[in-house]
Amino acid sequence: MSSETARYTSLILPPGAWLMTTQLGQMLPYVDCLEKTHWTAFTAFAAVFLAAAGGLLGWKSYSAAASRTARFVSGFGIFFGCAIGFALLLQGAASLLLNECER
Amino acid sequence: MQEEQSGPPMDTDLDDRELESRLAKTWSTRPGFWGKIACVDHKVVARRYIFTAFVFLMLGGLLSLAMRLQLSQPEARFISPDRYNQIFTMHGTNMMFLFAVPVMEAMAAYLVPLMVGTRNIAFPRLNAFSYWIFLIGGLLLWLAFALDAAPDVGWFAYVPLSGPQYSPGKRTDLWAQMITFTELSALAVAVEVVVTVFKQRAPGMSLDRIPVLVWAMLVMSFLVILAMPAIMFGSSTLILDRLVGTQFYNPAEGGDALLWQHLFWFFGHPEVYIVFLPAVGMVSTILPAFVGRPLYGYMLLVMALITTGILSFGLWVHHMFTVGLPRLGESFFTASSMAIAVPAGIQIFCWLATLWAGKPVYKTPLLFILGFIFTFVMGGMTGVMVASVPFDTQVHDTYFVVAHFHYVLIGGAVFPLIAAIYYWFPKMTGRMMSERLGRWSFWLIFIGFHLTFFPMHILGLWGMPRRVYTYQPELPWASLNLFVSLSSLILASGFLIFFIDAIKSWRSGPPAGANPWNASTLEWATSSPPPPYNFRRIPVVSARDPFSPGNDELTVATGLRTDRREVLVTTIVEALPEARESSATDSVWPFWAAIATSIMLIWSIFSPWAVVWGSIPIAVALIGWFWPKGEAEDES
Repeated sequence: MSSETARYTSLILPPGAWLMTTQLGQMLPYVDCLEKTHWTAFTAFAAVFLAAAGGLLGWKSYSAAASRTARFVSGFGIFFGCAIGFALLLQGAASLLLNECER
Repeated sequence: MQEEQSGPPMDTDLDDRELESRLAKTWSTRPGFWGKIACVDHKVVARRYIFTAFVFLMLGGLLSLAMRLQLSQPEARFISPDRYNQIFTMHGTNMMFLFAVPVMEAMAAYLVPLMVGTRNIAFPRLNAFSYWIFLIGGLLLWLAFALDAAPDVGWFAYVPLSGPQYSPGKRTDLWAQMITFTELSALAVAVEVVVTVFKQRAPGMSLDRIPVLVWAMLVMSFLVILAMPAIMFGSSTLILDRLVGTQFYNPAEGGDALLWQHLFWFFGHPEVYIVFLPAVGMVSTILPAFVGRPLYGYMLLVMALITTGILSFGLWVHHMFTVGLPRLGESFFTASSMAIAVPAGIQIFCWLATLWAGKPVYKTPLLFILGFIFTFVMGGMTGVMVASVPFDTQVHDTYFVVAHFHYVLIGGAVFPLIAAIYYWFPKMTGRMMSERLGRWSFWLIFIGFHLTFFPMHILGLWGMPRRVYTYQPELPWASLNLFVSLSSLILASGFLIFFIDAIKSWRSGPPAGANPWNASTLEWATSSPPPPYNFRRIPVVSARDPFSPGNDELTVATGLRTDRREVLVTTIVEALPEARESSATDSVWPFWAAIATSIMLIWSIFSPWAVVWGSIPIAVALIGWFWPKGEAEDES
């Protein structure tokens, strides 16, 4: 993957993962409660992985040789990975503590 | 042929005086009534917006005083229950839709073009249109109040209370259509700001040199574009349910009452950040001028702004914790509500570090910023408390929540806004505001605010519910309510002094000069108030703080035409010059389009056929607006 692709992927991946869990996190508890599955927790931790991957891509694309603006964009990717990854990790932790059918 | 050979008149090789004279001729607004109506200068439109929004603030403040009068003693009979319902609905609706969002967008419309170094906002006619729509929407709501027909269903108008069964008559329709007016105007300004920031920045203002305020306004505009369609859809379908008999929100016919809450809060929570993020930008811009050093952590602050914007879309269900959704689903929103404290904390620490490392000069704008930091942190703490489902369940719909959101909204947005008015008033009017009155105003507002709203936390913990017009003498709330009501007079007197100061200074304040604060952003590179064309020549930016010490002289770009309104278009990332684009001239058509749109929207409260017949005058107005001018719009 080229540095430029990594840079812009790192901008999209963490918010994308977070968007996915925000939607699925409202739908899957109903499925988990009915089917006795753990899709909510699985989705949350998959999203943590994706956000962390986004942050790592930002890290990888950060290079002293890149232009000032390119480094700025890479910095965004790293920060998104950390901040959004943290929010997703909290969400994942909640899915381990709560019963799917609890209201 | 002669014209083609010599080319159109350009700003190259003209002396300053000659250039100013030509630009003034091209960019000035015609005198007289119709000249004012047709004006599309972003500064003039934004000043009108700001003035109107502050008038609505004043009216909303008077409503809150009326509420405090009614609640100052148990079983008071100053206001009837029905009128009280109208008053608290009007207060919330007015403050959120007619003051907070519009005033922040107006600040964006005024400051963004100046701070990015361009001559007008993108789509200037749309800007004028948005103001007229906002004004008419506000007048509609207040006219309804004057005629005892104001909405009475709360500022979020939950169904089924706001549905046809429980709210007959036109009160709720007026509320819903007022929402359409204000959202339409907000969306228009948001689009203009996004395009201005992306395509009209001065050469050299690459992404990492954009002022923090401009970043904040950009993020705010994206929030508006993504959040407001939800409430426009909500208000339109509510009117359809009430007028046409659709069943969007009627569970008995396959609708869903919770759909309303989801739609409302999908917009409503980001709206808090629509109001707060510009305030973050204001604080980050004003602070360096009063501590004598650049902002600490520019990159962190910008990233925190964007992350806050993203996370703000994952919080809306925390307004719905008591409706019975699955706990696991709710936990996602608890997590985001707590996680958003991280970027907010980063912002606070960046400001504290800037203060710590600088030499603060305690002038009025800085006092309001310090007041903001103190108050907003307190509001943020109670925000983390109500993000927890068990605690929220206990205090839901109590005065604790009233106290919390006033700490966040007044502390988080109004304090920085007043700081911003004190800071940019010299730029807008060419005159300084009074430092003495400013200090009085700050201390009265700061002390009055905390004395008014802090006890509301206690009232909430003691079980006092929101939106009650009175309470029994046996309940233990009377003395604290009287204290709150008396304190609100201190708060109101602070605002009164602020308004008196603004009016007095506008008329006879001392002249300000171009850069009275020795600030480093581009709006201070032009005179106060700026000329209609903003900058004699377009500045070229070579640093994040163009006016940092030792960098007083700006390099400028030339090559724009002087015989027509022209702006420089640049690339998104590096801000490299791309093209010269014409900027719209003054026109009365945005005004007529706003009148036609308003007729259609108001008429549609009474008949669905208004959408059909009302669209004809709108089409006529739009044809006039977009009538071809017969010359190329841009030259690459």
